[in-house]
Amino acid sequence: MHYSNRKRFFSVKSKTIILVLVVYILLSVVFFFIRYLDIKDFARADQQLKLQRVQLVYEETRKRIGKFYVTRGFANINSYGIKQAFETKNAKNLHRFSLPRWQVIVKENPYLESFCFYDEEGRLLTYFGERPPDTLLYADTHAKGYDGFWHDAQSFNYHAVSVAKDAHGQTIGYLVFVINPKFFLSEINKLTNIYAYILYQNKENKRLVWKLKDNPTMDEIIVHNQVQHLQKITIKDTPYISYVIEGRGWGIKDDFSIIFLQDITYWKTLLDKSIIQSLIILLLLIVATSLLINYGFNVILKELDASNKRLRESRNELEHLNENLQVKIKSEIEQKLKKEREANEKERILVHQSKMASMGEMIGNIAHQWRQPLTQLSSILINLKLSYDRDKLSREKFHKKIKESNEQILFMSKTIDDFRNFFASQKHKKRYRISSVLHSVRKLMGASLKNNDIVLTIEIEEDFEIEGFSNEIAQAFLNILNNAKDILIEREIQDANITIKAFTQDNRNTITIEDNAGGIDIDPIEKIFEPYFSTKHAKSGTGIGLYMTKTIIEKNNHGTIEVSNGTEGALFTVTL
Amino acid sequence: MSSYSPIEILSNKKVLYAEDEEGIRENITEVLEMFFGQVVAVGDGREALDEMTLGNYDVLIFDICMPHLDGLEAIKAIREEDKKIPIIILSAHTEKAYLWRAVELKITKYLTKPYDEEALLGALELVALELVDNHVDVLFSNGCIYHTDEKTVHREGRMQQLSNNESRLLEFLIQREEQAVTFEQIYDYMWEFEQPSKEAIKSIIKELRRKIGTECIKNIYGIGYRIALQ
Ligand SMILES: Nc1ncnc2c1ncn2[C@@H]1O[C@H](COP(=O)(O)OP(=O)(O)OP(=O)(O)O)[C@@H](O)[C@H]1O
Repeated sequence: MHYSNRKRFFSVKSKTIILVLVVYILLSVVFFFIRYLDIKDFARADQQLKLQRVQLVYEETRKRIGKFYVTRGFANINSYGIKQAFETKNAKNLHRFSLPRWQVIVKENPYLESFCFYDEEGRLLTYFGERPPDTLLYADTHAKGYDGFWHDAQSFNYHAVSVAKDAHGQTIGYLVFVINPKFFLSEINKLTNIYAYILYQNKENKRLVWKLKDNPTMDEIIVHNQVQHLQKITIKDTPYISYVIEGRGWGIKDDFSIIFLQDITYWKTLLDKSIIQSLIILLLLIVATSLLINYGFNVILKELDASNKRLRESRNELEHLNENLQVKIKSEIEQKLKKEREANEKERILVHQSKMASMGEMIGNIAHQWRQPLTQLSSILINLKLSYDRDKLSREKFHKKIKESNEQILFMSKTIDDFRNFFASQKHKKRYRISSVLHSVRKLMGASLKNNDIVLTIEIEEDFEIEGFSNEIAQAFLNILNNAKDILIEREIQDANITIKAFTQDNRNTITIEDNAGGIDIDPIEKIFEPYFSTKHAKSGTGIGLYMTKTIIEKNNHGTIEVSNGTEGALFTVTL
Repeated sequence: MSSYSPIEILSNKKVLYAEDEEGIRENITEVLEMFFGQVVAVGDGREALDEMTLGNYDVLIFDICMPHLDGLEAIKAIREEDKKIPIIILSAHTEKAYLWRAVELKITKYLTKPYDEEALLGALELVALELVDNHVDVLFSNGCIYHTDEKTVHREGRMQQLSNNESRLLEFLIQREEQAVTFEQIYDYMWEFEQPSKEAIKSIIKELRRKIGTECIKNIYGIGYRIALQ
């Protein structure tokens, strides 16, 4: 049973482990997924932010640079000799008066390509730096100062244009700062830390590319990819995200795009790291969990085994106990029954003994009752015989003696009836007056008391009625009287007397029986009610008289009996 | 030898019978009257004691259980005066304690009730014998014989019947053979109420001397008489 249990527990164990692991993995995947999404979201938000910033930086730079150079241009236009030179189209003077300015400006910005002067027709008058296009194609279309990207077949540059006007507001020429687009890239790089390149694709699908640094990977993108906005591009394991700003040239055909590539390796590694982290954590957790579960199961198994064992043991014990219990219960019941039987037997013996004792006492009493008439009968017989012998028996005397004898015989048979009535067990309770009981007691005990020179006085103050077994009550009184009689004789009391009083006190029917034998010298006095307690030793005493008396009064008739020592002797107080 | 029973000795004797049960008392009194010269029956111990002071009883038959004063107590009081008077107890008690007390009181016979004729007569006979110290026939110094049961005297081949007074006085003297019996003793014993003269005694003595022989009854001057037995 143990073994198979173990097996079953094993399968349960692996099942549990698997279940827990699956739940773990699922949970982990969900967590991971959430984290992944989080990171992705975060990345996207970050990219959006970057884009905005890129856009912003680009716009700002464009505005700033435009304003800056246009202002510079006007400042140059308004400085000495420039306007005259424009008006006169004196390239030499333009060059001459503008040189100091160029020398300052070119130092400020390394991306300033050139500083050029065009006439109102858009023809190049003079220039500093790189050679600009010979004609300003957009010259006539723009009345006031402007800036923007400009391209021609060869070049693609940012132009900050200031328009020079004469006193009448007539355009007299253009002053143009040509700035390399890389300037923007560098500004964006400075401010956003993003590398960018500018890809110009014109209508003929010709591409022009500006970049800050040489970057072969980027070249590759440029060569191979039609880059779109917010496109993820991976080159040689390096992921990039693209930001495309559509730039507007002087005309639609001049539109271009500036493409920024942000190295998102950080995010990718972040993601990778998070995945790896998650995986590692998951793995660790799985291992830990497996170990834990395994350990736990082992412990549980051990515990289970132990408790199984204990259970088995306790079950065995229980069975054993049960068996024992049954045996115990059986033996206890037997013992109890035996005890009960013994108690019953004892009680029965007691009752029997008491009956025998009271029988004995009754027979004693009968003997006393009969002794008188028997003696009289024998006296009569002796008288008759002797008279006859002496011829002195007259007819009259003979008849008189016969009559006398019959009277005595009648008296004797009546006595027997009295006792028989007394001993006949009474089946039903009945109402009786206390006087009737006391008088029958006197009738039964009278001779015996008188023969022992004991005066019995019965004082009935209140002849109350009681319901119960009058015979039993009479027997109880007889026992008390017999004891009193015995003690009076034993102690050779002069003027021996027993007084019985019947009265009601505190609504209770009370009977007191007092003798003048000097009292009970037993401590505690209640001991006399115990069965087999007797001071009469080998003599007639069995010691159950008063026990039976108490039983009769208290158990069978719901009364009370108390004993105390009165002034002259024992005083029994019975309430019924 | 005579065919008389020793119980006849009682025929000139006076018995005091105490019994509280009337029916018994009547019958036993009637029975006792067949044997004793005189029977006085009383109902309790106190009466018995009163009766005793009037004296001159030869035998006492007492019941123990009697009102006022029980038989044994009465006997105890009597024994203080008279150590010799034979007593029969008729009692309902069979307890040893009573028997022991009876022994102390030197009771001739303790009869338990109910008793039969044989027991009663046996007790009476015992008492009778005790009264004559077991000598039914008394031999006088002159060879004359007195039969206490028959109340007759044999002297020199002649037999003479004694009167009641004569036999009573003679037996009284015989019981006290060693001593001088005073006139007062004789008065008390012989007569209850009347005060007889010395002459009455002298006349009985004279008659006795005539029947037995003068030498057998000695005069003790101024005191009384003394019997002379062999
Ligand atoms: N009136 C009394 N005065 C003094 N002692 C008494 C009195 N009544 C009873 N006793 C004492 O109580 C004892 C117990 O009495 P109980 O009637 O139980 O037994 P018993 O009289 O000895 O025997 P039995 O019941 O056979 O007569 C007596 O032995 C006696 O010592």
